[in-house]
Amino acid sequence: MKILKNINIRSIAKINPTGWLLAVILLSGCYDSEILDVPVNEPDNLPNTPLDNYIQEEFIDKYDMAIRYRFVDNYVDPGKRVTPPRLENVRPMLDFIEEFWINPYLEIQNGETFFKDHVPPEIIFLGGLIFNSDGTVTLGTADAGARITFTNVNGLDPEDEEWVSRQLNVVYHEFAHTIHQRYKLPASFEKISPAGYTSAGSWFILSDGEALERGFVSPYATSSPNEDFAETVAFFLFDKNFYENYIILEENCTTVDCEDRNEGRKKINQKLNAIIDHYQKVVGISLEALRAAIQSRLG
Amino acid sequence: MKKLLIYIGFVATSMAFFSCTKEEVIDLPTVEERFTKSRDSLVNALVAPEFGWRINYQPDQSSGSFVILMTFDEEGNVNIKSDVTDNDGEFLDSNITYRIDNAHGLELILENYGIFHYFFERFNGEFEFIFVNYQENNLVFRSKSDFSNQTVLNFEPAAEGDEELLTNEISQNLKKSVFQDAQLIGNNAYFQLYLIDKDISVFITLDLDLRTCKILNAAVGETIDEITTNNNTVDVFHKTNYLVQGEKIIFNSAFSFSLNGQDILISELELFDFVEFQDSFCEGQTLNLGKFQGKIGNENITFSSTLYSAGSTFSPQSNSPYGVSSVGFFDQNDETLQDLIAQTFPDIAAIQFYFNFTLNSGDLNAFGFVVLDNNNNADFFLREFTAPTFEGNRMRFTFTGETLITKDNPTPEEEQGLIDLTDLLFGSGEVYVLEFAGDDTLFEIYNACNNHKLFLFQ
Repeated sequence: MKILKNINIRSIAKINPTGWLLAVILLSGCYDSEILDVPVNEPDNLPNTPLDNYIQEEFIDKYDMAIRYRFVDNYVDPGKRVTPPRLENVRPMLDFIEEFWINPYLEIQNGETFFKDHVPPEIIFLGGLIFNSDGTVTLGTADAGARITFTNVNGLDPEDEEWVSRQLNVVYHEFAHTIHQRYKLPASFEKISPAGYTSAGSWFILSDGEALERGFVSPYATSSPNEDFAETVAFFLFDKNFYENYIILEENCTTVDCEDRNEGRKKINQKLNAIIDHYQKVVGISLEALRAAIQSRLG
Repeated sequence: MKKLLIYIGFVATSMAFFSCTKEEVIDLPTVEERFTKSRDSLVNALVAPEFGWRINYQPDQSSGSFVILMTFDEEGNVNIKSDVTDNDGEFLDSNITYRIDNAHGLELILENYGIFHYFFERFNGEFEFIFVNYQENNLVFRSKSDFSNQTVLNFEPAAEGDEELLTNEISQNLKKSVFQDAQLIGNNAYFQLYLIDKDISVFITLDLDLRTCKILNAAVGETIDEITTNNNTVDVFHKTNYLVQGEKIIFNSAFSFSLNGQDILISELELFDFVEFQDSFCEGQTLNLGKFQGKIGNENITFSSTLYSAGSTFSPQSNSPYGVSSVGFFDQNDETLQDLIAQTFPDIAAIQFYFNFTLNSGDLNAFGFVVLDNNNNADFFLREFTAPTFEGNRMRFTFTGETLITKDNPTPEEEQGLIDLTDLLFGSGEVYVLEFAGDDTLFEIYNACNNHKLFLFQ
């Protein structure tokens, strides 16, 4: 199981204090992707605050993309616990997604057209993480290209690499789903590492290293070819060490593990090339140019 | 035939009645119109009181209550004031937005993060409320997210001076002397309530976040020496929630006891004139403490933070040791010693405290570490000590010089590490055993000489 972080239980939920010292909470990143769902309609009669006006002008008018920051309980499934964002975090969060998600597309060839044509109509901001009954934490969701949900907006800290990586991973991952949903996967994509995919609901038993040896950028990528596609796109875009971690082969391998990792890297490289070609072919977007635009912003 | 006529008559009457009813339905406003009217009516009610609303909010049955003041406007904004000082005081006075929905009836939704969402995250609170009814001048809501034992909120029109109920001096000052780890289990603290005229001390452990408490015991005398000399104590063991309101701590359920020929009943404390002072619980070392002057009725009291209590429920366990994972050992800065322990015992499974544990060879009193080997077999590294003695909750013992190590050929580093690590907690031979308001199986061992602490579960 992928352990992302040990957390202070009492800070996020009321749990019998007896449990805290003995328990290690396992936060497993997961995306409830591709759940067919009808977008939630915001209640009518909304006030026109300066923030609402800003959203109207900068997001709805420009991209036909609504930003939902006022809590509606069916943004998450029943039984899942989550809180809304702090009001003062909404504008900085808007700036964040504009800087690292929208603007990179605007500065590359065909990017603006692509973005406007493919952007989901709803973006949801949630304050905390979504805590699931099985102990996992949902980092973000996308629903059939109709909505992307950002969690942990209350943890907003652009100086925190971990927070930034998680948010960018979510949005690049979810936005990548629109490609295979509209244009299918690259030809024979799922045949590059067919034996590496995990059975339903078991991806989280893999470690990062085991996923790499199978030819995947993360354990979650092993859950299906669609998730593999989206994860590979996301990691390629946000991970500044992507080539070192997943493409460049280790030299002078003397162990079986090292050789397995290199075999995995060869498969990832094959997938990456297929994805880059696919983006160029179906939407005229250079993923490499997009990565360069994003990385120049991340510094 | 008579029955048939009756039936015909009944059907005809029903049709006539139904026909009339149908006409009336057509004249009714639409659902949307009725909702709008109801919503506007509720919004008008919410914005009406000149000084807003006052709520004594109890997020969960296991928690205490909090005074909350809310002022709504017609634009969907609500100002919320509380005396909760957490998160750098962001909940003392905050503005968020609200709306009225129509789902399970009229619903009050607090749309952005604020004090109620904080309660939701920490104490099973809620931030979506279903409107129940008007009760005279009050509005009654119930929580939407509680599937059972739904919290009921009674919105009372606030009075002009109600903001004085939110003086957070008591809340802030109570937290100035917290010796029970603040990071992992919230702010808990021991207090000595001294009834000056009666010369009786009452010892209380408070969970300052949840606002619950446990009245532990009472004793004749004020100082530790007086209490020890008088040797006249009584266990109380009364658990209750409390509310901080203005200068008062109000116990949800009053507690009583008899001591030294006096019957004592306490339902609330009035506290004022807080001062910080220093006291010593280890020779040569001082701790910063806080003391309130106060009253119970007309009687003068003091209410002081302390490490001491006149008794302890930390008791011998013949069948199982007290234990905790290595995360539960902390230094004077509340930083876990997990990494330090791992330098000597990288595969540590648990810290254990044996208190009169029954072995064939006799009782075992020992403290140390359980480590797993490559085959997941447990190796024990324990250091023996003499049977503990108590003065109140002050526990004393000395190490015997013997160790109990089950590993074959332990390294010199492991043997020395066992001595060094156990000395961090028990090197002084005297510690204070602290209890918690919310958990009878959890104890804290506090070394007042170096402020190291260990949490142990029974």
